[in-house]
Amino acid sequence: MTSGPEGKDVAARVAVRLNAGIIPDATKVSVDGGTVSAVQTVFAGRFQATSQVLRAPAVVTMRPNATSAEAAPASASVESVDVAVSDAAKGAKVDSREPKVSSGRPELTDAAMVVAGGRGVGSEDGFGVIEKTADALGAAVGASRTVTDQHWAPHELQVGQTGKTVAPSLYLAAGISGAIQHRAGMQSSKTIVVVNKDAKAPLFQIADFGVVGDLHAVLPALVDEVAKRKG
Amino acid sequence: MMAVRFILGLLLTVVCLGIAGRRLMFLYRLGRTAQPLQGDRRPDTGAAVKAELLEVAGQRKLLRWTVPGVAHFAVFWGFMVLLFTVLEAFGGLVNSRFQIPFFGNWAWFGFVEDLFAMLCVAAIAAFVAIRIKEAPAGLGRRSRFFGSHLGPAWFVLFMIFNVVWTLLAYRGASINAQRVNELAGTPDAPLKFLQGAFASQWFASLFHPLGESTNEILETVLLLLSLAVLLGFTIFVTYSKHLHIFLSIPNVAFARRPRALGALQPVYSGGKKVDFEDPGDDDLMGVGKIEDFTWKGLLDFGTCTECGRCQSQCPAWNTDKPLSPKVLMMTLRDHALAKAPYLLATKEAPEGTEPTGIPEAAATEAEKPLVGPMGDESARVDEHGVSGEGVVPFDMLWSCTTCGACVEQCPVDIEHVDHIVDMRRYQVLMESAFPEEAGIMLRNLEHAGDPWGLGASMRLEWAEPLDFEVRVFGAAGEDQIPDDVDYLYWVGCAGALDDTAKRTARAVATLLHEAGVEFMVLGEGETCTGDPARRMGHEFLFQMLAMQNVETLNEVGAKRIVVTCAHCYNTLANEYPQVGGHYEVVHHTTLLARLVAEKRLTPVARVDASVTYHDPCYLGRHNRIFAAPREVLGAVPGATLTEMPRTRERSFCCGAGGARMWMDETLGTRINQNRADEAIETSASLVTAACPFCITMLSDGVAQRQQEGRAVGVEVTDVAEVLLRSIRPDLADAAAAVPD
Repeated sequence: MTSGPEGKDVAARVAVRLNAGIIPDATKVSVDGGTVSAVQTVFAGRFQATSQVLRAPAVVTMRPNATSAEAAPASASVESVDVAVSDAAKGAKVDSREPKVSSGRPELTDAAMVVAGGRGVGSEDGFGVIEKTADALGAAVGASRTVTDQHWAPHELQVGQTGKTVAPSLYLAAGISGAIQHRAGMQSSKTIVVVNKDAKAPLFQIADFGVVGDLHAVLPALVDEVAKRKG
Repeated sequence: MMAVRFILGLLLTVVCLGIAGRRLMFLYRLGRTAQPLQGDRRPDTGAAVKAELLEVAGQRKLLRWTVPGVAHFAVFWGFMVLLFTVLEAFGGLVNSRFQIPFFGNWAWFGFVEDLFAMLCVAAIAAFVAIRIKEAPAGLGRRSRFFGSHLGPAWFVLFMIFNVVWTLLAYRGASINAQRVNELAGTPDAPLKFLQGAFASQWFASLFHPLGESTNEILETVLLLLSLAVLLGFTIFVTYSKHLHIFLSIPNVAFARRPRALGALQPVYSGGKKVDFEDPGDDDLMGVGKIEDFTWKGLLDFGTCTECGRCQSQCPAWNTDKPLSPKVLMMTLRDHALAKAPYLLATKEAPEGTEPTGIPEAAATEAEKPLVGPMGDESARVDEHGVSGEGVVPFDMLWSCTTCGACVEQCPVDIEHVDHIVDMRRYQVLMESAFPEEAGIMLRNLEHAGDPWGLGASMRLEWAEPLDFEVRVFGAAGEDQIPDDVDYLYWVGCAGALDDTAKRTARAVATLLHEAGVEFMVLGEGETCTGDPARRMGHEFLFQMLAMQNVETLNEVGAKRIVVTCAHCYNTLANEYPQVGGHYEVVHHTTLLARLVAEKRLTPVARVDASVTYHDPCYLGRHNRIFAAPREVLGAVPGATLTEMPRTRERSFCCGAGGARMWMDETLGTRINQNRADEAIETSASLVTAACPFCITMLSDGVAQRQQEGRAVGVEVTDVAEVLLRSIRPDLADAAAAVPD
């Protein structure tokens, strides 16, 4: 199951019902002679813990993006089940539903790629280049606290200590110096790319790739290149 | 005539004092429905007496604001002296020639009485001027009277004026009436009011032309009138915000000494400390209902005079957030009074019976939650008062930075911060209701021991760039801190993990090394002291972290500790004694100032810069360390210190305290911007502070202005780094990282 709030909730209930062992938030799973073991990242990515499930069957929830979806060979069949619902459970009634307004972009917390902008974007208009880059890559849009505090981007996009925690395969940070409050929300990302004018920006320390330069020059060039390669 | 005035006067007195007494009795019974005082919190008699002398008699805190302070001093002492005049008036009911024995007929006594009465009148004039000048009608939220009950305040001034003039007029008529008696042939009786009492004599000369018999009637009428005014005013006081004239005396006596700042109190239930390892089933975890406050809490609310000194200093209020400490006290008081019939009926109902006779309004009030829900659209704090689903709106409770500016100002020693944290405790521990983004900090403290969730293994990285070895406890196999170590250096989470604060950590380490101070660090053995958890109300997590740290510190035999964070300082020095940790804790600025004074550190290189210094709340107001950082800056050649307008005791918070560092600031304007702008206004090129969180907040504010093309070249840094530049200019690490 996916290690999201709903997945975790269901997994815990399933584990209790099956009297099974559970490993939440795994990044890898392997089966070795009937025992399931899973790897978890602990202490914000500082350590890897490998755990075995002693009481089968095993229930494992996987971190978003820890693995890619694969088609299962089995075919699904429909099975009808009669479920008795108690009166107490009917106490709540859904009055109306309002679908979430979709931005057309992937959800920030489980996107495979995130493009995030910081103070360096300079203005609300300047933030547009982050959105363009994200769209070119099919990535989600993120922002530092400064950006959301200045209302250059909506609050839901904030990545960091007081915002969302993300761990995408690719995190592209543009104009974000990388104060600890921001790093707390993205440091477990797999590949980190940093674009910043200031070569001393602390985020370069944890970057896999870095570009020292103005994001307003670098990102449009990237967008062009992506467009060119996509043909 | 005498008989009539005696009977009328007596009747008036009995009825009025009866009504006022009944009201006071009701307030006393209401206080009895609240929680008992924290068990070990008994007022130290000596300190209480001293406080009464300084704060009640000396009006110390009021006099910090010169004009209103002097005016209040005049009214307070005016009324003290007027009590003699009142005594004479009561005596006059029995005997028209009554006077106080021994000095009652001395000229200087009459003069002093009338002088203080006139000072009262002058003070009322000053109050009127202040109330007109600072009226909320013109100033809006900037007025300290915004949200106060204005009508009753004007009425109080009017009544004080009436008390004074009626007494003086009575005395004037009395002089005339006595002259009448004298002419009638009883010259042997001692004369009164004939000397010294200049104001009474003025009234006498005014009334004299009315003739003898009229003055005799006038004397009686004015005497009864003055008593009616005085006694009526007394009744009004017991029903109004002006109760402080009675309640401030016990409130000051029972206040925390030296002040309700620094350490927070542990969680108490029924007067006993709650044991978080094994809490009782019925233990109260903080304050979830008005009666969960102690009676001292209710006394605080009742004593509030709505003067608004707290409001004028509050960082939340000054940045347009829905919190005013004054309005909060007023709201809690009004709620307690509205719920009172319910509380009294419930408390005083005989065992096993249902309380009866609860008015519907009180029952409705009792159903209101003390703190409203998150995102309550109906919550308002404006000129019409406070409204919303709860008594206290959610955002009102969570806007507090616990900076203590309100407690510092309050002339009657109200303990706002304690009450706010007590309400937060219930919200966090029982309701799990708090700004959700702060949950990440709590979870990180629990799992990783630091607010960012980086974990212990990174706690020594800060020291790697140093050109000398930092001694780490346990690295040489020691199980006790060796005797040659002067200080255990508590680096703190920020110092160990935050890039900017790491520079401060290195600067302090280098300076100690230069001065030949032997120090040692715990490295991975440190965890967060628990300050943000405690100030958010998560006492359970605080206790866990505190006990863990105290165990570590006691095990290694820590005696003297130096810290670089104002919050660590406060917790280690003031709060760890509550969990069995007693250490001599020193802040780095204090230690550096001492080393400079002892010539163990000699600043030589010039640092030509204008400098301003921001007093961190938890160093300044909470711990009274004002001089040391300024001494350090003063010792640096070339550096000139320019103070900000709001400084020392009146320093304006950076916005990070009270765990606000870990919450979003979405309401009003930004506190850190407000303070950073004030620092920039001084034209200083170096904005200094002595706390990593202040530095983060101020850097952010300065960076914002720099992006707008202002504050060019302004740098925010720790006091220690300025000293380092003067002692080891080769290490000057000038470029400040811009936080994001």
